[in-house]
Amino acid sequence: MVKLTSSDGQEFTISKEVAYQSVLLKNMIEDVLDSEENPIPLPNVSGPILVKVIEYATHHKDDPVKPPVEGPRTSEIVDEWDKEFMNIDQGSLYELILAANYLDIKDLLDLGCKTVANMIKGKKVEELRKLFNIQNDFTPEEEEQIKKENAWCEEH
Amino acid sequence: MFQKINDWLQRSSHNPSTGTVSSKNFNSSISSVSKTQNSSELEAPVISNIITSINDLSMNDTKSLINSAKDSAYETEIDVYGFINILPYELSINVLLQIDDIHTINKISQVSHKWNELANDNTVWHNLYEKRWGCLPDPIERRKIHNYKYLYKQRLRLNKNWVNLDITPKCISGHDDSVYCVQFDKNIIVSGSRDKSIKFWDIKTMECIKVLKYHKGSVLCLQYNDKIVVSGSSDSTLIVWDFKTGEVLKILSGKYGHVAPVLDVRFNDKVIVSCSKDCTIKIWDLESGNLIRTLNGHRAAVNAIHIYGDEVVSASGDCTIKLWNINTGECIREFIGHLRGLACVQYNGDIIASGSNDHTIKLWNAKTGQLIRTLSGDEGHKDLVRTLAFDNERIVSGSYDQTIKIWDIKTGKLLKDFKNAHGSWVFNVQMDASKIVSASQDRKIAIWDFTGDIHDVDTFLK
Repeated sequence: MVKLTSSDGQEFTISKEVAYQSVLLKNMIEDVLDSEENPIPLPNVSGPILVKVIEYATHHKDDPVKPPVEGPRTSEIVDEWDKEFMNIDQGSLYELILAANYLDIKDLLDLGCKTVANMIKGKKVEELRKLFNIQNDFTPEEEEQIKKENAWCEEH
Repeated sequence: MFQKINDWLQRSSHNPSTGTVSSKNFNSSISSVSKTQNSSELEAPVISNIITSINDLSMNDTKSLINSAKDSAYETEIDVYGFINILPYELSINVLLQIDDIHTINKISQVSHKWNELANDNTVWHNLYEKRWGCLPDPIERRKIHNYKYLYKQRLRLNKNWVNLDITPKCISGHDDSVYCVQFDKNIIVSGSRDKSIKFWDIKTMECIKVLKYHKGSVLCLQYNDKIVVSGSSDSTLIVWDFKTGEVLKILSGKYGHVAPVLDVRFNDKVIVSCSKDCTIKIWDLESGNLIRTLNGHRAAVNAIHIYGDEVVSASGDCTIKLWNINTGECIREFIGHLRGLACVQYNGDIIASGSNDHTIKLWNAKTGQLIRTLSGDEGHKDLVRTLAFDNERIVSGSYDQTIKIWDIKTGKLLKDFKNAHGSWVFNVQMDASKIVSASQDRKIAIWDFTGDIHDVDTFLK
């Protein structure tokens, strides 16, 4: 078993199998220490997010090793469990992406980025500003200029 | 112990999947996000709450978030820009790498200055380009630094030319009889003829630069790379030639060889695969020239083959297409649907395209065996579909009806119809991003070039 401590001091005990989904933890456990006794501090991951990460790693621990993806990657999320798992608020979503990047869990990182990409897809410019709370900082001239420069994108 | 772990954490926060996210910036960004979350109750599931919580970030928090981004100029700004300010630059790019259509990227570029910067990142356009057209075919071009947004735009303009440009072909008349097969790259065309010769042509000047003669019959098929040329002939043999010197390196024939004309040949870095009028497919070791195995199963001449990875697809006069495993010789799948014998086939790992004496072209799902589409009818060919070639955009087909047709591979729509493309049967068509090269019984090789006024087309070519 492996013990982890989140940024807010919560302690988690998980199996090595689950921990090994994270390349960071795997390398640490193999290189540095036996963490049965000493919890590994994760000062960059909060308790609630670590709960989500552990949930993900536990669900996917028995997945077969995937061959490298050939051909185009798409943002489509095929796995229904993954879709439901990602049904979270924006703030937690960003935290989860940061945690996945920090812990080096590639599949979770990709899943998080795909989820944000899917939020963007099919939206009008004004809808994007609203959804992500962005102020339009273009002058009308700049706006016109960008539209003109990119007109070829819409011709096809 | 704690110190040791912390040291380790500091050293190892480089993340291979997203390039370099420096540990210092990264830590500062994540801690501040966590802090915000905690102060505004993470459990609140409503998006508006989270947006509020992001807005509630104190000036200091915002600054540390901003420091995590790429550009220190962001520091002067207070507004919070969704994921782009919360995630480090590299992770925001990672989000955009999941998007595969330029319309969405165009929308992103119009949102704000920062979103515009992301949407114009060369990594994003490199990814968009490769998702649509694959990596550049020439390894020298692949290593160069390109402006991929520019390349994407040029490639789209080139695509339009395939539909809109009125072109007349340039012809090479240099063989003494029918030209059965061609292959080309950005510098040369190599052709095989009923006059028993293989000829090399400079694609720009259209002059003959080399002649290979050793076959005792028509040269029916060939393939070359930068080291060898492999040809198949009606004399039932295959010859492996040195590409540079033109020397005969090996003749594949004899006791285990084909006993009738060799109708098609393909090779990869391990094997040569050939098919014949004798109803068999043979797999030869590329290095030694020894026969590895013979694939039996077709009940008529095997007219065409194509290989992809460890698989070979074969099209036969017996009206069937078969997919085989090269390593085991096992027949994986059969594709039934053509009403008459097949003349040509191509395979890209997912899709098989086939042309038949029933005058139709069919597209098949290679994984399931299902028919995707049939190209026929009023717009279709009026005689045997003798040859075809396809890429991600289009199918080009040549027929005994003397036409060459271009079809949209996604919709099946006829894009262009070159009536009387040749004065007789069309035996072979090959294509790249900018042109078609065709060979015919009229003894001519025709070059159909869609370049028009577009610059840097050579970047897209092999």
